[in-house]
This record gives sequence, C-alpha cells and structure tokens, in this order.
Amino acid sequence: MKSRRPACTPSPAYTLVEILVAMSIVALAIGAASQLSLTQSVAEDVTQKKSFAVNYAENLARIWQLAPRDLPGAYLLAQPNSDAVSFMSHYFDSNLSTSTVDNPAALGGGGDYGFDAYTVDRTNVRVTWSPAPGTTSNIDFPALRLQPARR
Amino acid sequence: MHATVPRSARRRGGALILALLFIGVVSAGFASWALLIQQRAGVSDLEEHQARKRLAAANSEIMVRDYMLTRVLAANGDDTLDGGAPGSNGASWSTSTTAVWKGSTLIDDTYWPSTTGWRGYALDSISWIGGINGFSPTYDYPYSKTLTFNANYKQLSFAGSAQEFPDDATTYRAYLRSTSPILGGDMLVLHRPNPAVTGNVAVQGRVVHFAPNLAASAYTARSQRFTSPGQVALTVVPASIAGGSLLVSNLPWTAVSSGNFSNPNIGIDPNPAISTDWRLPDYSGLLNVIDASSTNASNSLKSEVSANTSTIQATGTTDTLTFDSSRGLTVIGSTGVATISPCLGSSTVDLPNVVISNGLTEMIIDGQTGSNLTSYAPFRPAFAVVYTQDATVTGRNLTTIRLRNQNRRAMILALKKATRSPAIDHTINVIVESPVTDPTWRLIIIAENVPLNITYATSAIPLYQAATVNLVGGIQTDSPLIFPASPQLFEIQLETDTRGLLRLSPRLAWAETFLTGKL
Repeated sequence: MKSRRPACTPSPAYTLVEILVAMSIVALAIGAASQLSLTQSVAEDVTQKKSFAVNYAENLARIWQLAPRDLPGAYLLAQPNSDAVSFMSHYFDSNLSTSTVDNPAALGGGGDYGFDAYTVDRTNVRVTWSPAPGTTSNIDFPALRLQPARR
Repeated sequence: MHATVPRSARRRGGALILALLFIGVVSAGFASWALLIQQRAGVSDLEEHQARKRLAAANSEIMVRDYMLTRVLAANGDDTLDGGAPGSNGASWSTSTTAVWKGSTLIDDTYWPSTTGWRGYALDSISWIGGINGFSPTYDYPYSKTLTFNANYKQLSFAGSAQEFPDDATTYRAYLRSTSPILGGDMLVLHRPNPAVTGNVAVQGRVVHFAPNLAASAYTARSQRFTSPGQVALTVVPASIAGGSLLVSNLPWTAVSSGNFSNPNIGIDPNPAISTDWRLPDYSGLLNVIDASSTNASNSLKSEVSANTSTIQATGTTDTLTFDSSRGLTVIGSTGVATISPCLGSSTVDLPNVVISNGLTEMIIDGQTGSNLTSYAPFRPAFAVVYTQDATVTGRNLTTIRLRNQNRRAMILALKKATRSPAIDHTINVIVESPVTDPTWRLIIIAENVPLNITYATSAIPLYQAATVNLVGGIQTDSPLIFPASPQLFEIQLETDTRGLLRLSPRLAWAETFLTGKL
C-alpha cells in the first residue's frame, strides 16, 4: 500500500530584493546611530570634563577667598590631570593688593568716594582644560577677598 | 460573500508590523538617549553659569563688607548717609553711580548701583553712652545699622550669555553690630601689642587673645574657653580652669574694631580737602577706646563721659583738697592722691562718673562694708572712673591704685597713659586691701598702655588678708598683667547685672552681611 503524502504547498516568503532593501535600511540606520552615538559620547565626555573644570575652578576661587596661608598645593580638593588626554591645569594671576588709588572721581565717577576697591585683594582663577586631545579651553573666574586684617 | 485574504499575505503583513513596531521602539529609545545627552551638555553650561553667579555674589559680599569696614565703621558721629558719606562733612556721594573698578579687567565697571536708597545714620564704632546694647532687625540704632546693597552681580564680572541667562541682582543686607566684650563673656580681653599675663588667675569665661604669638611663658591664665583671631601663630599654651590642656576655639572670626587709629584720610580718600572727618579703624587687635582724642575725639569713653554734665571732671595737678567729698571724691592736688568712694551709703548722693586728667600719683578706691556693701551698693547705678595721663605734662606718674575693702557698685575703671615711652614706668601697682580673705569687686578694668601689677596686702593692723580676689566684671588691656602667685588666686567672674554697665562699657563693633535676595 502506498503511503500518501500531503500535497506540498510552498509557503510564501520575502523576496531576495525585499530582504536586501530591508538590510540596507537597517545598515544605514545602524551606521547613523553609531555615528550619533560616537558624537554623543564625545559630547558627554566634553560635558564631564567641563563640569569637572568648572567645579575645580570654583573650588580654587573659594579656597582662595578663604585665604589659607599656602595656596594652592595642600588645599586643593583634587589635583589636576596633566596627561595629554584629560589635560587640566590652573593658575592664579597676581594677587592684586593694589596700592595705587583707583580714584573714582578722576576716572569720571561721581562724587562717591566710597568703594575704594583697592582695599581688597583680587585675582583671576584660570583653569585650562582639554575638550579634545590637542585642544584647550579656559575657564576664568575673577574673585575678590578682604585683605588679611579684615578677614 | 467576503473576499478572502491569502494566509501568506497576512503573515507578511504581520511581520512587517512587528518590524515597524520594533524599529519605532528602538528609535524612540535612541532619540531619548540622544536628547538626554544633549540636555546633559546643557547642564554643564548651566553649572558654569551658576558657579559664576555664586562667585559674583561672593565678590559682592566682599565689596559690601569692605565698604562697611572702611567707611561706615569709621564714622564719627551721626552723619546722615542721606546727605553725605559717613563723617565726610556732607560730601555728596549718595546719588552717584561710580565706576569703581575702572580700568580693571576684573570688573565690568559700568557702574556700581546707586546708593540713593541708603538712609539713616552711621554707627559709632567704639563707645556710646545711651541706648540699649541690643539688636533689632528693624530699628536698632545706635547699636546696629542696616544697609541694603543692591549688588548687581553682573557688574561683578559675570559674562555669561545674557539671552540664555538673563541679568539678575543679588541683594545683601549689612548690619553693623557692637557689644561689650566683657559683658558678653569675654572677660579677659588681651589686645596687641604686649598683653603678657603671669601669675595665678582663673577666668570663669572666655579669654580673647589678640597676640597669642607671645612666648609660652607670657601666658599663665586659666579659663573655660580660649579664642584667638588666628591671624598669627599660636605659641601661648591655654589652660583650663583645672590646669589641663585647653582646646583652642577655632571658630572663624570676623574683623572687629576696638578703636580708630589711623590718621584721617591717609591713602584712602581721593578728596581729603572735602571729607576730613573720618578715620580708619584698626582690625588687627589694637585697643583705643578710652581717649581717642587724636584720632576720633567724639568716639571714646572719656569724651562720652565728659559730655555728660553731671560728670565730675578734675585734674590731679591743680585741684586741691576736696573736690566733692560729700559724694565720694577727694583729690589732693599737692600730693596727687585721689580717693574715690563708689558708694558712701543711702544718706549721700551717688557719686557720678569721674574723669581725672593728669597729676595723680595714687588712687584709692574705697569700697563698702557692712550693710552698705550687701544691701545698698549692689543696687546703685553703674558709674565710670576715667584717668588719662599725658606723659608730657607734670612728670607725675600714677603708680599705685589701692582697692580697699570690697565694692559691689557696678564700676568701670579706665586707665590710659598717653604714650609707651620708656622714659617713665607705666606700671601701676594695684594693691588689694581687704579685711576678708575673699573680697569681691564688681569692676571692669580697661587699661591702655598701662601694665598692672596686682598684689594683695597682708597685715594685722589694719587687717588685710586677701587670699582670693573675685573680680566680677573683667579686664581689657593691651599691656602686661601680673597677678599674685599661687596659692593666692585672682578669679574673674561674669557680671550678670549689666543694666547700667551696658550704657557705659566700650564696645567692639563689626559688620555682618546677609544674603537676603535670591541667588
């Protein structure tokens, strides 16, 4: 007795062209996403570095305003990196305990003799950081503080 | 009859929909991630903005404080801020918007906000007779002074994007405050330059030491607390009441004024020809509160006490015999001996404030005994005795003060010798003559350029036997203090009945700032 096999009906499928088109689209999408991801990762890295630099600069300025005797070495909250990738450095410009008179009247000010600002110390805290290898950017924070006898 | 969709077509459509859904979900997730990263990038800009603003606000506070310390605490009298700068004889500054930082790369010096909103009075920095030594946020003149500064932070170097982060203002309110350190619990206040303390002294309160860099042997006091401004290294060794090690308070200090020192306008005022009447206070711990006639005449204990018409004023050189013995003051000009009785009893009128200028060799302060001591004197009004000695006048030199019996009338004894010239010995020997072993003196001693050598007399006739002297009040000085050696003891205790003393005691003044606006 002959066994009877069911009739073979070919199941429908995508054509090769359809698959190729779909794969191309997916490949393009993945490529674009990868590129965007790379860009975003770089941006995230820059953001992190800048965030760190801002905090670092603010800390420096605040510490300078608190005016410990020895600045900046022992009082820094973190040491800057100096490698080529995450380069960061800082400096204080000269602490101006100005002895010359900023004469408001002579400089066109009114009759207000007050706020003779030369009685305060001032500095500019600059933190140099590296958004990308080979490039640098500066953050400048000007800061004032009272002279020693008035702190 | 319905048209039948082939099964194969349904399968393909379903797969396509699933693929689209998958792609949609993935795209949405990816877009969210990208947006998040972008926002994080924006956060760093915001962080920088906030940091700049915080620093600008701090810079504003520095400017406000410096202005207060330079100009307002230096005020001499009640010059109105409305009509002129403090003590500047009406120089008009109240309506200007002055560029202060002109030429500086630090500051956008477009202008400093107008000061037209400032009203009221300047504050005397040292002593003031009258008022209450209290504090009210609304009206506390003459012991506090409120100024509101509109310190616009953008003018203090903020350089962010004006569109993204628009301009803003930071408002500070500044207070000038003052209080008597001794009545506040600083019962031994040691000012520069040479406040060496030796002998056996116990301070039941705080010691404030402006010159803690003296040799360790130059400080033997024991106290409950010890504090120092921290501008100089600590080399003295504070001790507790029990004699053990005492941890130094490291709380931050603020700049306090204990007198005006600098000549007027030197290096400060751009137009001294107009404003010639304000002085620069000292914030380094010097003391000049008794007679600041050369630097701030109206702002000293002597000038304020002298302004009261009831004050008895005498000179030890010319006033002979009795001056006002019925009230408790005798000055013998021929010998330079003055006897002061703080409280003679209920049958006499109270001794008022006394100012003696020059010519004394000896001062006897005769306290009370019996019921006068216990039941009457403690309730009489406080008074002050001020002795100032110009070293160039007569050659007489006050060398002895006798504290006889006990005293429970609140009293201030202010002693000043004009110079620290080595030509004369500035030391005054303070001799306690008490019939009891532990006499109590309600007394605040302020000594400028006057070292005090405190000893206890012991004798059988008359009977003097002090072993422990209790000083209810305190000592404020810039000169050495020598106390008796153990087993004798000098103990300083807090004066808690401050009613009259509040009006008489010289005070320290300082500035406080409060951030009252948003940041």
